[in-house]
Amino acid sequence: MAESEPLSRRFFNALMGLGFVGTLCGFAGTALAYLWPMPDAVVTSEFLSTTRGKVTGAELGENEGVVGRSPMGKVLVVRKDGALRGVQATCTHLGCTVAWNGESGEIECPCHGARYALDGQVLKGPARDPLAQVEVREETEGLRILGPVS
Amino acid sequence: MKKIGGLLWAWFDERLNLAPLVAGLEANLRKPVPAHVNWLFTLGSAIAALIGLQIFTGILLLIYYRPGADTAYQSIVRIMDEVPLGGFMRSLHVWGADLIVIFLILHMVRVFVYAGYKKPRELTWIIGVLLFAVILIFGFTGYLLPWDQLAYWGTVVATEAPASIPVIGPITREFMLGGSEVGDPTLGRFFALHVVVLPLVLLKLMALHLFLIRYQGISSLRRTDEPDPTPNEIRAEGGEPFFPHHVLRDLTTTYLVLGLLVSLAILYPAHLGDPADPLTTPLGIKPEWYFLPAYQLLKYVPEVVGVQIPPLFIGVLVLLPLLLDRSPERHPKRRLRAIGVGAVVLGLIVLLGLLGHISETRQTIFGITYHFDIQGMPHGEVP
Ligand code: HEM
Ligand code: FES
Repeated sequence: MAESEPLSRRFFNALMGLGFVGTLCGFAGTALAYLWPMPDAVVTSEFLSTTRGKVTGAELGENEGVVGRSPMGKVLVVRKDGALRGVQATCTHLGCTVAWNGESGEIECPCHGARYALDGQVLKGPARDPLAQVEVREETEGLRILGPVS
Repeated sequence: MKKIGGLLWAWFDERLNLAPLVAGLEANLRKPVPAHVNWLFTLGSAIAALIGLQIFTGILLLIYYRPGADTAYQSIVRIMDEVPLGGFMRSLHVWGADLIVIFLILHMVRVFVYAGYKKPRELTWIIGVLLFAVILIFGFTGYLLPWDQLAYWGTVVATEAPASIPVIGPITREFMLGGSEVGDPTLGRFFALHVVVLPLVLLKLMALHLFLIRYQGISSLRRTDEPDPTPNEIRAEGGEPFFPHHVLRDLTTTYLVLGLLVSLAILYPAHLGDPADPLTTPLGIKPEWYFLPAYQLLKYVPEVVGVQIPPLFIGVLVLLPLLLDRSPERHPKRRLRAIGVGAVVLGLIVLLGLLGHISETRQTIFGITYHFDIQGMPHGEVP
């Protein structure tokens, strides 16, 4: 019995150490779960909306653009030559929100000056990837975002 | 008065045996500082004073500030417009943050020039680098709190850049933001970091830093392979006692810096822009001035590379006393090469910052208006 004592003390210490590490992991894991990103507040309305509510077709004149939220995220809708065109409004460079410039007829990013055509293609860097096109339909209730252009 | 003091002292001394403790403290206070110690060696205590004030103004701001995407901006407006001296309090906090970074850089330069980081003070330097990193995170998290357009979009751009690192980038970003874009969860995280976590870490690191400095004493100018001078040798070489001589110098600098801070806060009150609007990005988004060099760097090199350079730079600072500069010389005159390299690195950082400052602006120089493009290159404009 006397001989096994050092061993069991060692075992006890190991057990204590393990318990301590386990406790730490428990706290860390719980904190990690607590901090895990939650799903974004879902935009349920399929109509383009801003903080002032749904955007209606009447609000959007020829050669004007509007950015709103939709189930597809932030979308820019432009009325050009009577037709509605939609693209994702988040600049592919570093995430600023783009806007329509009626004078130049281009989509512009105010952050580092990237420019896109109405179909989302990059005209000028620093952005490298195009803005994805979005299908929009004008209805009496508002501008319905239908989904990505296939 | 004297009698009450004596009674109190007796009461505590009887229970805690304070006499040896006080004697030790006194001896430490009288320890001389080396003869070469000058005004440049008061920058550290000025920072300590600024940090004390920052905690004070921060607590006061906290009384009226309301974190939350719907409340933060309005609470700042209220502090500025309604709370007595609220605008002044906020300006003190904003300018205090800037001054801390400025004096931190000056302090680092002085420690570099006098080789204060060399053996046996590597730990003091490394804790200093950690302090520097903590202060930068303070600035980054604090920038978002007013929730105005600049705060919001500055944070969007700054958190988007690390997302370009493959695999871990996007996850890290989501974790930082608490969602896929900057929003209420982001503000909650940054707020908790800024007012609780970082102050705790900062105060612990500062205590360690200051303890090591008093314990080891300020570095001499001798080579690291020679023994440090004893207090008697320092005295013989003309070193003055830490107390009161150097402490008075520290106090003088501290008061000058406080005067500067109060003047800046009064003359240039802190600004608040339009409330954050995730649907409209305004023109002229720039990060805080001390992040401009890193921000500008991102414009010249691919983002994946660019975002790794600032952390690498911090790593280089940590390794400086351990691996990079192991020469035994301490005297600035015998370290001209190291000081030259340091000056070039600092010059490059300042240059990047200036390019960042001037890029995407219009400036009129000698009557000619130039447009500085995204990379900071001038283009003449026809009037
Ligand atoms: C919260 C920030 C900091 C505070 C309050 C602080 C405070 C101080 C003080 C009071 C001293 C005494 C001598 C002097 O003032 O020059 C000192 C020395 C020193 N500091 Fe700091 N410091 C800070 C940040 C840093 C940073 C960022 C570094 C470097 C990366 C650093 C490295 C050192 C070193 C190595 C010494 C010893 C120098 C010597 O013995 O010659 N400190 N610090
Ligand atoms: S975020 Fe649009 S150009 Fe940089």
